[in-house]
Amino acid sequence: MDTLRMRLSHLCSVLLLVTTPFVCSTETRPNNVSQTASLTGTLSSTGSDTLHNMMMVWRREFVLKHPQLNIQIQSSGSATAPVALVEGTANLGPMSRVMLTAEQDRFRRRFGYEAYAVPVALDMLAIYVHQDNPLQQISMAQLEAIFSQNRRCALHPAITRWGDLGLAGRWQQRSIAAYGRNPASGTYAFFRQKALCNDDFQQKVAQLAGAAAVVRSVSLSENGLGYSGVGQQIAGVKMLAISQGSEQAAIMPSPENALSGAYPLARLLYIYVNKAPNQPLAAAEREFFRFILSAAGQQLLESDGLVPIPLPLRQQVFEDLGL
Amino acid sequence: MTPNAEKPTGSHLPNAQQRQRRSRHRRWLDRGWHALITLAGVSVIATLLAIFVYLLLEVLPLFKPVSAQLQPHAASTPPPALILPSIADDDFAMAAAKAGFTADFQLIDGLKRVIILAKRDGEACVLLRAALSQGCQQRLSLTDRTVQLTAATWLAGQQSLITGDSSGQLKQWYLIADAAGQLRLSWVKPFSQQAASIVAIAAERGRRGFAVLDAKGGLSVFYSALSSPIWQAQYATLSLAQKGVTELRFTPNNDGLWLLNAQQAEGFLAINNRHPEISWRTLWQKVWYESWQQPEYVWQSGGGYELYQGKYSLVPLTVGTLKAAFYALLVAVPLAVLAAIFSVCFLQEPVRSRLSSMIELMALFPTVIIGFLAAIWLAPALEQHLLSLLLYLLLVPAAVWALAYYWHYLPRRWQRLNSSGAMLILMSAILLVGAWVALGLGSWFESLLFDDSLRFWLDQQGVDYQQRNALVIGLAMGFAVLPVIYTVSYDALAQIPQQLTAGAYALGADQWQIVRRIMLPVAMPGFLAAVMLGLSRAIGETMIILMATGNNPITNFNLFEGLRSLTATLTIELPEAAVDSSHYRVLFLVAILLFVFTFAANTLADLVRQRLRRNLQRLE
Amino acid sequence: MSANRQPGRRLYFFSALATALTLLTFFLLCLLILSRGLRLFWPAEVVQFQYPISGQMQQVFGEVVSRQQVNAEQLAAAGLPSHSQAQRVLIKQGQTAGQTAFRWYWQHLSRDWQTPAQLSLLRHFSQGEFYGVVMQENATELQLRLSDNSSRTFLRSDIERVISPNQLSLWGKLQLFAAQWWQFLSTEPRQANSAGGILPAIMGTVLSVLLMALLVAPIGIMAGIYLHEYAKDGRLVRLVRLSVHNLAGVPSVVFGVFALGFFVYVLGGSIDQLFYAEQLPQATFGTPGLLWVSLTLALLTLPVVIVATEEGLARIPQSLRLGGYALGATKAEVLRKLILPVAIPAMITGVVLAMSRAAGEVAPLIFVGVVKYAPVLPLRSEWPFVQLDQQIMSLGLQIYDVGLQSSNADAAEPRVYAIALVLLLLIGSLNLLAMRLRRYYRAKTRSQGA
Repeated sequence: MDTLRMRLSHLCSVLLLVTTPFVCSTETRPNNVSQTASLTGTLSSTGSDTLHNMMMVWRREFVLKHPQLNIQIQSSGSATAPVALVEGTANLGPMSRVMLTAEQDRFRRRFGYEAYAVPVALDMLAIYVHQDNPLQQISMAQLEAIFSQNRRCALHPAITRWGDLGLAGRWQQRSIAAYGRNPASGTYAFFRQKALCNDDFQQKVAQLAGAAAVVRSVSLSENGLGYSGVGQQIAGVKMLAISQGSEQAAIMPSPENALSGAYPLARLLYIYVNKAPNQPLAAAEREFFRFILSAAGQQLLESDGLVPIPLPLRQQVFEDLGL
Repeated sequence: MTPNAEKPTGSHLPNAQQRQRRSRHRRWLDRGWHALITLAGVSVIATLLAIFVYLLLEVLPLFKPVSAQLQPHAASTPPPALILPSIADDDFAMAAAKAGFTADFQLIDGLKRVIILAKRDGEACVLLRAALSQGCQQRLSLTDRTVQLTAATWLAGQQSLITGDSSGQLKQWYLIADAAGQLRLSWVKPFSQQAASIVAIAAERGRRGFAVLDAKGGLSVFYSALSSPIWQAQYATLSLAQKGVTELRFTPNNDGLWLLNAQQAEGFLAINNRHPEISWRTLWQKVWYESWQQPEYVWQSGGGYELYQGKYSLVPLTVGTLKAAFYALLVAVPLAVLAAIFSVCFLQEPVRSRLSSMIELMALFPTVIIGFLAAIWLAPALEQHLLSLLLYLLLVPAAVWALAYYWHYLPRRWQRLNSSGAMLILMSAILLVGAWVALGLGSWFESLLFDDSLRFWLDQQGVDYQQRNALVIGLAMGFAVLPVIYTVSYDALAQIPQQLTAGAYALGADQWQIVRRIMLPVAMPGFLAAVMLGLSRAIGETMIILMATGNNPITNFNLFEGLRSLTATLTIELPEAAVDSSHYRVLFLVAILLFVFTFAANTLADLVRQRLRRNLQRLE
Repeated sequence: MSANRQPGRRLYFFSALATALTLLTFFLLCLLILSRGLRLFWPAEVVQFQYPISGQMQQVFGEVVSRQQVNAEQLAAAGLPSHSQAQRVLIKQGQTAGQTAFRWYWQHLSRDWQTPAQLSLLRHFSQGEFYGVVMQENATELQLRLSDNSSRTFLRSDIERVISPNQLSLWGKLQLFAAQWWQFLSTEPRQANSAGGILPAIMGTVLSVLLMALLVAPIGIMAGIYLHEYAKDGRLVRLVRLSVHNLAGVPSVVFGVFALGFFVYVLGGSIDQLFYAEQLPQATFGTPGLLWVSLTLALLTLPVVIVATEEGLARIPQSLRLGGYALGATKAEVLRKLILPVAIPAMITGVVLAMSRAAGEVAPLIFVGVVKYAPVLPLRSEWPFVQLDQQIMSLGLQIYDVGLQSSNADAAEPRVYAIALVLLLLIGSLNLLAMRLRRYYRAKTRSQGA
């Protein structure tokens, strides 16, 4: 038990250093969803496609408690969230990455303060290949060599055929069909940052509008390889284990590996809100966050292949939002 | 009739006054209606014009020239200098020891892997930080040796270097990996020569622009993709006295430039330079982007990273759109025109109008359904049965050709099967049987000839075959634009006056002669209009392309590779684009481009059809 | 003689071939959608078999979704012992511990295929589908034995339906088929649009199209009247006609761009500032919504209505107008009292055609208020009965979303065919209505002309 807590707080601090503006603290356990009067009005959400399914699941459970509340969900990519928040066309901005300075700047210019990021889940990207593909693992450098135009990160020579990844026989001469997401998605940006050192994607990499579309395409093309979130439940594909370097062991995506930080393609997912400092959130938004960050709300994440966020981080958010 | 005339007794007619009032009322009503209806008619023009003007207004700021003016700066203080990624001084010291000279310029790249040291005389040494002990990986001169290196600065992102020398020359350098995976500092391009020795270079924040000051007081602002300055001025014209400015510094959002002398502000320029990355050249010509091996047409708007340089070449999108339209027309035009000829020449009335309304119904088939089927079903099937498709395209026409050739050798009884409905059924049967035979033959041939599938055989021959390619689009979108082409061709053929064909028949011409010598020439403008309308429809089609291609911005006309169209780009990227950003405005430019393409095609089609109608009326 | 006639026959044959190909493709497409769409709700047989998973024979429950022939080369490439030919079966096995809901199995490795009558399919409201044998049931709870022999208890209130397809008679299957269709049409979607119904999408499509008809009818009809009745052959008319044709030709997505920029941001923004200032920065109309969807569709379909109206007016014999003028009627009176009553079917035809065109539109609406998921219907009990500022779902976007974006793609894909079927039926029936009206109108005007 102790080791787990240590590991969690370790992870929390790692995540803090990398991505979030929060500070770790060890306070009491967040209290469960409080029963308040039934809410009315509209909550609209615009943003990440990765969080789309979760938003729907949360929405469904939440609306059971507040049948008068209308929640609309549009998910075309993380980059749509800041636009919608700045234009005031949405209350919730689910994002699979943190906002850029430029996006925060635009928000600050409009409202005078920064948009508030609520971490809601831990996600992993997986590399998918067709089920008939004998490949079992791949390294980050090889991924870069497949997807990147200039391969600045590892300077690995370009990979265009499965033979370059060590496959023999018929597969040796087969070309690799690379599938990826469209630039609006946080998955695209995250993969570019982690695997490509922010370099350009090759022009021939397919840009598909949807996390499922990528996996679907891989399942339909024998020589396909694509990156997408682990929550995609499609028959006919398999996930590859990923190794950091050529000498390190390859690791399959799993909640344990995500929490320990061993899996290289894990990240936090956020919902951004327009929250003025020192002012409470509107009732609907507050209750919604209280619900999704509660134990019950976080448990729902598992149905979509996502991992609940560490407890200390959750407590910090509860405190910041005044829940 | 005088107004005062007495009303005849017993009459129910209104009296004169009432009549007058009523007629005035009627006149007003008539005028009112006239005005209202004319207004509605004219509103159509207004709508079209409003769309165009609005789109144009959104786009114009892109091409607004850069302007700058001097502003008093007493009230504000210059922002702190940009913090670049830094490493321990020890590393630099060790690098200098290895290079064998004391460096006047020491630089470290964005990934903190490469150290570049340079002396005033231009001599430079590139070291890998991970392998400092190996010494210089590359020694080179950043100047022509005859001149002094006076300034060297990273552009935002620390991927490319700008150097200036005492002759006023500016050069850009990239770190490019060579074939052996070795990073080398390579001279990419010169910028236009400045009048005097370069004093200072300042990089913009987050964008790939920079400002340059020369010793004669010439100030210029550049964008890295363009070799000539986008703004230029002299101290004198700015009415600024030269007070030994040694440093330039941009404000955090690049709307101002501070002229500094050892932290002392000497002047402040307010710069209006919202969209430096967009110009005619970056939109339509090859641009050599940072780290790339050569200049290329690139569309990669990519958000998600602060220092990302948006790459907005419209060439791949335009080529993609035209490519998709071309292949779609290649499929649709022959089918539609032949079907129109069949309906007009060989079908009798009830069947004819039933057929044409059936094909009109096809026009309403939602393209999102076609796109879905193309992506999920057609694309994988084609990949698997490519050879069968080729065989099918050979087999069925050959069979029909043979049937036509040997028709009159067939038993008389069969030949009487001249009713067109029966013919259609016969042809459908041929098509279905042909499909079955082609599928069987295809897999047989594949195992016989290629040992793997044709698709992977192509791969080995160096032909890139992507599953979601222009062939899929051609077939799927061909089906979507076919009805338009059919309808217009049908109208053109049906308009041909009866007496023309009847006269030819009387003279003993057969059907082929009539079609070739009379109907085709007369209706040719109609076909042209049909193709134009089909083209406009194909250019504007969105969902099929969005769903059935990989949306990869490739610039070629290869049948087996994917494409990205203007319309799909709008659909994917507009919701994410921040209002008033360069990206947003470029997308509006894309919309204008689509508008102009289709406007040209439609107007041309309209003119051609009008002329055709007039000519035919003259014939009658 | 025969050589002379050869090219003519060739033309005849090849033009027939082209026509047949066109029609055949169309029919096959419709047939494909019809069969796949209908099959979704036909209760399929539930099977049970043994399969070696990590060395041990395990039991699998499920439905056969599809089969795939795999040749020896593919087998070898996949690293499996090479048989001459093998078959792969896609099984829908529902929610099981540690496995995906759909999975491919090798036919030649599986043993002992059975279709036991007591095997059931349980559809849970929030957790998906389960295959198993019902062990115990009472008024509040139901216990199911799953394929790994573990048993699981469900609350009755969480269960949508329990089916035992292997026991059903044909009549029972038909009943179930009808019931599932009705449920599909009348409930809201669940589980990322991969289960449940499509009522909000149907209502969204219908409402936006009806509202569009209200907006487009007056202007379209008046513009049509202008072109045929009022305009003299001049430059202005030619310009209007050109505009109509161009409006019809401008890509629909350009209307979407215009609508997002102008309607939503500019127009909607100003409405908010004028009337809903107290709610800012929360936008009311300055955000995508039903009103903007309908307005965009109205712009898009304006030419359809204009052309149909003009066409209809051209069929009315000139004598009718001349008779009116001879009695001293003004132009407006002739129009209102004589022409319009006759021409109304033609105008309705135009509006109906416009509606069927609008119902299938997707691309421009993504910008202006059609979303993947907004299950609350944009209706309310007091005037004006529709929530104009609410975002809606539409059938077209559902096809795009469920088809390519659903994370449970194997379950979602068959639904796309069903949604497509509904959309096609909607468009087809609107079109049939338009055709009927047109035929009726032609017959009527012909009799008047005679």
